[in-house]
Amino acid sequence: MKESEDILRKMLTETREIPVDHVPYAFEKRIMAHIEAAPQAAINLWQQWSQALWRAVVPCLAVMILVAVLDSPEAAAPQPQPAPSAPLTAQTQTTDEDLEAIVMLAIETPTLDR
Amino acid sequence: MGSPVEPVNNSAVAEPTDKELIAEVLSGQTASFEPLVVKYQPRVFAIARRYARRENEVEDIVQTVFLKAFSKLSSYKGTAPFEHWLMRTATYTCYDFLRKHQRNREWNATDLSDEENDWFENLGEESNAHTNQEAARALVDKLLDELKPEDRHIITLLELERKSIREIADLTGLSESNVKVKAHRAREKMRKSVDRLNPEKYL
Repeated sequence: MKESEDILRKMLTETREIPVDHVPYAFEKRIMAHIEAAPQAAINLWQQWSQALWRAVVPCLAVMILVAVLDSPEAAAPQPQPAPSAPLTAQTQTTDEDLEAIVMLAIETPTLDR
Repeated sequence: MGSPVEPVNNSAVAEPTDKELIAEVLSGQTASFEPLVVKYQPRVFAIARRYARRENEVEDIVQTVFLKAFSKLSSYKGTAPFEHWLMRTATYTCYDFLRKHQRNREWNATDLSDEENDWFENLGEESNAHTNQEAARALVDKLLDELKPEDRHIITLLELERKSIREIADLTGLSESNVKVKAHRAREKMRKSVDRLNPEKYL
């Protein structure tokens, strides 16, 4: 046990002594290039968004026109329908009343003669 | 816009402090981040090399550390030195790397390279004899590979970076007693692994 503890300690000591802080040549330039590329990526995102919006304009217009075309006969058709129906009932009502008056007159006339 | 580059004080050679550079970066002068990278990259590389063996992995870790530091620079309060804040970011990034690249491989004496076998054979020689430090490092890596990421993190901080128990507790969010227990268990496991790896045991 003591032996393995000593071996481990020696291993760790030697590992610690290895210089590990060397930096690859111009590594900071690589970092800065990434950092400077980051805002560009943000701009590109906005560009992509606006491009997508522009691309959506044509299908949106097409859908809008299609809906307008399909909607227009539906909107025109129901309006004339109730208009004739109302006077028609009024007209039929008046004719019925006229007919009733004529019938009443016809019934009442013989009693006058008497 | 007026140029703020002209020195205001008398000492023309005085370098801007970390705080001044950070303030410039936060005000939009991205280029002011470069002196901070140049100043601290050796320390960040030293930390990263304790956790990753391949140089491309080390470079990726260091790059991640600085990109994180740049993007979260506004969260740096300035109460502690910037170096501490950056090293903490580096340590967290390295721990993330360990968790993502968890190996948990068990090594045996038959897996050792010639250099590693030689290292064990040369153990009995005088302390000033030439020893292959890279072989020692490779052996330590093998021992660390067998630990859980959290234990490896603690042992790396304690044995390789020579941090105190208190500092480790602060960095890991564990209590000091918990750090001590975990470090002791991890070291015990490493010691047993040394016994298993040591080819001299089987001669």
